[in-house]
Amino acid sequence: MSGSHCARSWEAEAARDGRLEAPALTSHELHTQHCKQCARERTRLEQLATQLRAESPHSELMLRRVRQSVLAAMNQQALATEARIGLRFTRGQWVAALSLATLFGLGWFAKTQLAGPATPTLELASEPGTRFTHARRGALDYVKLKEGALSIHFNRGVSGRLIVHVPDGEIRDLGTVFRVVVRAGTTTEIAVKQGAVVLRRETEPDVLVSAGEVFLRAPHGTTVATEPIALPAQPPPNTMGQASAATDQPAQARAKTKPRQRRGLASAGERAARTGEQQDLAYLRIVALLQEARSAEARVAAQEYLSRFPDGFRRAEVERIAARLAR
Amino acid sequence: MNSERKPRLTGAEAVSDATLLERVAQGEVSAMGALYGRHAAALLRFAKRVDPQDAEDLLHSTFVRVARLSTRYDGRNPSARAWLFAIMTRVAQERTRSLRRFARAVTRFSELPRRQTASMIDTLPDLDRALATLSTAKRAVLLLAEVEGFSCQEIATMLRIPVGTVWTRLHHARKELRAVHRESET
Repeated sequence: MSGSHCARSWEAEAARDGRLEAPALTSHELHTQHCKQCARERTRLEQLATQLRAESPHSELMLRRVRQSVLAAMNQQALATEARIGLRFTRGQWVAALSLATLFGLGWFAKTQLAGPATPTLELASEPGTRFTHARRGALDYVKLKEGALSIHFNRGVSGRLIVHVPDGEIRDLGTVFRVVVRAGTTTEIAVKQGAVVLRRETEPDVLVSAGEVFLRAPHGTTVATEPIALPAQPPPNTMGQASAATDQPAQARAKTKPRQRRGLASAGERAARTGEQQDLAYLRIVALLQEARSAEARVAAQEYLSRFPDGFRRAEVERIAARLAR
Repeated sequence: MNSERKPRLTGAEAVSDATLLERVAQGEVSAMGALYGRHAAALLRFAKRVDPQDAEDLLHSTFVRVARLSTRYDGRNPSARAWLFAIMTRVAQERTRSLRRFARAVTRFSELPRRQTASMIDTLPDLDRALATLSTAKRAVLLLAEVEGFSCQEIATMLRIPVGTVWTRLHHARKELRAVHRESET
């Protein structure tokens, strides 16, 4: 390398890299024809490039080996993608199945819990000595009660019906829970806890007994009470057919009362129930004496009833009996 | 019969890289084979200069990444040559960075002298040894410009760097290379 240094030697590299504009490039070309240093610089750059471009021996084996591994890797990648797609599809199926199951579950819940069971259900509980038969024809349940007391819990479902045949007629269920007592071939008591029933007899008008009411009748056809009587909300088994001031309230209203109030009402209800029971016993005693043709004793019993229960709910009827016996 | 049947790849030089990459994106392995056959030799030559020790791994990693990135390829450019070289450069730089981190960790741990890495370079031919002393970025730019024939503007686009940076790297690469080469010759 000579001691003198051309100030334009950098142009060789700039021209090679495309840094020079057209006029500058032309000027550089002209300059290189005369400047040995710039020409040498240009040659060196070209030699370096040539050396770099010199092909190193290619390993065909290496190329094949890499090709094999690349294609294998891509295959695995494709398989993994397919597996992911398959998994996604399976997940989709699972989601669809779960959705369907949830829909079916909700439908079933709505049908059974909200609308009641599709088929009617009937529960019968009888006292010892009760004679009855039960048969189902399609959606119609027949219960034939000959004698005794039968508690009936009937859920109509979608289209169920219940008919209770009693010796003196039939009872058509319009509700759910009621009790029927048949004594000596006569329906003596129908106590309805929920819903309503209709008592149909051949010779007498129909009687509708609704929830919380009781129909009482003396044996041997003598009607002692055709008016429904209010029942306590949760009467004990032996207190059906008794009235009380407290139990005249709807069950829902009672359920809303506070515990202390409820206790007070319960005790008042119990007292009223006891009083009603005594009234019933006194009244039934009169009826029994009349059936046995013991008129004098029946008259005394009637007077006792009127004096003992001046505001009794059977007062009017007892007064009629007493007046008839007095004649 | 399916009227939209794809043309066979055998002898399909007319099929552009863009089409091949489109098929690679759809998981067609034979398209990757065709693309490999078309560009692998040039890429291996570049890899041998950029990373002489791990050229084979570099080539493999590049094509695996090509398969992954094939969906992003801009189909307007029928030739994927620049795109493939850009991917290889990025892969090489990433590998260098991670190797450097690993080497630093090992050096710190075992307190090995830094010069030990130079012993690997000693086995290479003079020019390649000189090249090995350059940074990966400078080496890649020099090789892309001088060997692969890309213009500085193309390299800037490929590597997503300003063209001025490409010029600077080229200048410094040549300067360092010539200095090392001259030193080895003397």
